[in-house]
Amino acid sequence: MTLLRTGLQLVALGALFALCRWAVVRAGLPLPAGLLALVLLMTLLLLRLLPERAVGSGADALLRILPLLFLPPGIGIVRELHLVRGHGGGLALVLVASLVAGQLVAGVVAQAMVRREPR
Amino acid sequence: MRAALEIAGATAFSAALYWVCSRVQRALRASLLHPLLLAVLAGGILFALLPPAWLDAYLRGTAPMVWLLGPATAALALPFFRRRAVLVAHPRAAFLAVAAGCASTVLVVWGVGEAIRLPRPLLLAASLKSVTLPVALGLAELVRTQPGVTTVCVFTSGLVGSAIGPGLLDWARVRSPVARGLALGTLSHAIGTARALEEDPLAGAAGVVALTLSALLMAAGAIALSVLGT
Repeated sequence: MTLLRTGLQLVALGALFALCRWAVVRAGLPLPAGLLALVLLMTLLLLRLLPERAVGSGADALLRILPLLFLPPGIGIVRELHLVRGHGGGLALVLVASLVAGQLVAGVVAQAMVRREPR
Repeated sequence: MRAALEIAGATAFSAALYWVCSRVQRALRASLLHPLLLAVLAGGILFALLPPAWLDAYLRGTAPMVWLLGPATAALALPFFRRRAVLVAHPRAAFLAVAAGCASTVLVVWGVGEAIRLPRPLLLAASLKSVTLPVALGLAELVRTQPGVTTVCVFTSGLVGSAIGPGLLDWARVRSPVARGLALGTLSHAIGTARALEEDPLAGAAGVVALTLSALLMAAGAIALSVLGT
C-alpha cells in the first residue's frame, strides 16, 4: 500500500515536471523546467492547495536517490577536461577564496540579525 | 533495442559504482571521501582510459537518470516546506544572510577570477557552486556553461565548506545555531546542511531553508543574466 502510494506520487512529480518542461519549451521561457516545478510545488504547499502527504513520500524517495543522479554529469567532466587544463590551480583558488568569503559574510550577517531579534 | 541496452547498462553501472563507493567510504570512515566523489573519480578515470565511444554510450544511456533530476528538483519543495518554521521565526536573518552570502561569494569569484584571467565558462561554473546541484545543472544550461565543471565546483563547495565551515564560523564567533545553519546551507547546500544537522537540529533546519533560498536567489540572478543576453 505504502509502495503503491509512493509510486503514484513519483508519477505525479514526474508529470508535474513534464508539464513544466512542455510549458517552458512552448512559451520559450528562459528558466529551467525543474526550477519552475519546484516553485509551483512550493506555492501549492504554502497556499495549502496541496497537503504535504500527497507528495511527501514520493519526494523523499527521489531525494534519497539524488546523489546517484549526479553521477552522469560528474563523469561527463572527462569530456570537458580541455576547459580546466592549465587552470586547475586558479579554479581551486577562486573556489576556496569565494567559499570562505561567502560563509563568513553569511554567518556574520545572520549572527548579527539573530542577536537583534526580540526574544 | 540498442537504446534499451544502453539505458539498462548505464543505469546498472551507475548504481553498482555508487554502491561500491559508499561501501568503501563506510569501510574507510573518512567523511571527505564522499561516495559521489569516489564514484566520479573512479568512473572518470575508467572512461578516460576507454575509447571515447564508451563514454558517449554511457551518457546516452543515462538520459533517463538525467531526466529524473527534474522531478527531484521539484521534490526539494518538501524539505523546505517542513522546515518553514525557521523562516517564519527569523525572516530577516534568513533573507539577509543568504543574500549577503550569495552576493559576496559571486563578487569574489569574478574579482579574483578576472584578476587571474580564468576563462568565462569556469567563472560561470564557479559562480554556481553555492547552488544545490539539481538546480545548478539547470542554471548551467541557461547561462551556457558545462555540466561536468559545474558538478565539480558545486561538489567542492559542499565538501570543503562542510570541512572548514564550522571552524571558520567559530573563529568569527558565529555561535547561534540558526546563524551557523544559514551560513553552511547558503554556501555548501545539502552537504553543509548535513554537517549543520550534526551540530544541532535547529542548525540543520536553518540549513535547509538557506539552501532553498540560496538556490532561488541565484536562479533569479542567472535568469536575469540570460535574459539580458550577456
